[in-house]
Amino acid sequence: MPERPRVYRTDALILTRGPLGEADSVFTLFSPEVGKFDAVARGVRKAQSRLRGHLEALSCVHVQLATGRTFDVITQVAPIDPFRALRDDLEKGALAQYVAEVVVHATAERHPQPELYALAMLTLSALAAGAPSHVCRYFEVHLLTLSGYDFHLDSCALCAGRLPPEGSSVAPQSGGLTCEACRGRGGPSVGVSSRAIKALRFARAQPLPEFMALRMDADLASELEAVLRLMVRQVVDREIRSARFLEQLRHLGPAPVGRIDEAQAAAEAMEAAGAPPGVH
Amino acid sequence: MTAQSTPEPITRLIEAFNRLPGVGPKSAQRLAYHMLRVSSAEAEGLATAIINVKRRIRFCSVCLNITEHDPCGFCSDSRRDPAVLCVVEQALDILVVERTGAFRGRYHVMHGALNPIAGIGPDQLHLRELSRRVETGEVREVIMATNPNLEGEATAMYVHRLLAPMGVRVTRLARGLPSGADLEYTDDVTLARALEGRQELT
Ligand SMILES: [Zn+2]
Ligand SMILES: [Zn+2]
Repeated sequence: MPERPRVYRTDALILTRGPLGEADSVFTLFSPEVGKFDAVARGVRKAQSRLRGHLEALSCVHVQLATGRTFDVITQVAPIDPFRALRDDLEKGALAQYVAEVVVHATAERHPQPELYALAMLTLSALAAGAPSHVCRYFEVHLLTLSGYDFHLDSCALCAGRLPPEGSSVAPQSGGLTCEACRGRGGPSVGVSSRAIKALRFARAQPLPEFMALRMDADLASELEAVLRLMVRQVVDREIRSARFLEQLRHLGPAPVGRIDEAQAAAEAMEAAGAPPGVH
Repeated sequence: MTAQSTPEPITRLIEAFNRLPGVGPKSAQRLAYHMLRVSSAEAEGLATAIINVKRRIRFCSVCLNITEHDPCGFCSDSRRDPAVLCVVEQALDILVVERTGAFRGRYHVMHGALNPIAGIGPDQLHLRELSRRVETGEVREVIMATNPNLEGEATAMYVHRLLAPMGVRVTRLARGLPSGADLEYTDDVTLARALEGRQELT
């Protein structure tokens, strides 16, 4: 393996952020050239840190890193797209975190996957721009392909036979849809309607804007979500934790009108006391 | 030195230190060898202090602050306004708010912030206890004093959605510039927030 350069620069999507030591943070970055990797930012949890504002989960940045023994160290950062809208809306943020978590589990350390990077950026940009939640289905369909999973949608995954016109069943372990005769032979399976199958084919064949324009009622949306959740689970071989939060959000009432008021006086008093919140 | 050549009790101490937040393998080793050098009395003092914290400190049954007596000092202080709750991520944050001397209400400690990827959802944040406090009708305003990061903001929005139907006012700290910061070194997100929350000069 060639020696890595001491200092390098790259674009990166920040997938996760976690505390490290007194005031450092460790980030999982996803870069088109490097792939997924962890890096630290020193002192970034202090209010004075110059790196602070740009280094936040779900934002896209240009970073300069110094190669370190355990972690590479972020020395400079410039914003590319902070995806602010994902931070200001609970649902959008939760969907974006779901996407980030899937990327974390679908990628290997320092293995460049520029197409998956482009797909993740496309999805987050769409979410930030107000796309409906089924943009995540488009992400999942293409993630399967980019992960080397050949999702059989046109013929039986087991016998290559014809699929019944009125709907079929999907068996994640055997590669996709199965015919009536093969049903139950390819591991656990769930039923899938013909219109859901059409939507899956459409997502795979069409660019995102066409898929976004698809009219999707609540039944179809939740059927596609359930089917693709199974498929993604098959590929990443684990439960995606953020999916549970998405369900919990659905049980919460609708967003109240207006933003949360700011407790201005309290914040000012705290800053006057030299104790901005979040410094710990 | 290899693990095999280190006596087992030392290895165990190193491992215990290594599990502490912010302590890496090197520091853990340094701390363990330091403990070898200190007097027995000092070592026992440390061990007793740790055991006492575990035995005598518990969560306040009202606000989940850490306390020796239940309910805690804030919850049992009749001079503090029970109609205003300041919701914080961790018990340590109470000290930060108290240092300002500007808050005379009571607290609620969530012991975390929403972080779905890390498996921290609403059920892990003692929000049921918060809802129950608000349901009594005694609370007029809930101030979300969460960190100005993704998790903290999401938590504030979530609690807003959770409590708004109960008719309580939910507010959050204004996102100003950190005091002492140079405009030149201020990131655009912070600056944008500061602009949004701007005030008239009087
Ligand atoms: Zn078949
Ligand atoms: Zn209490």
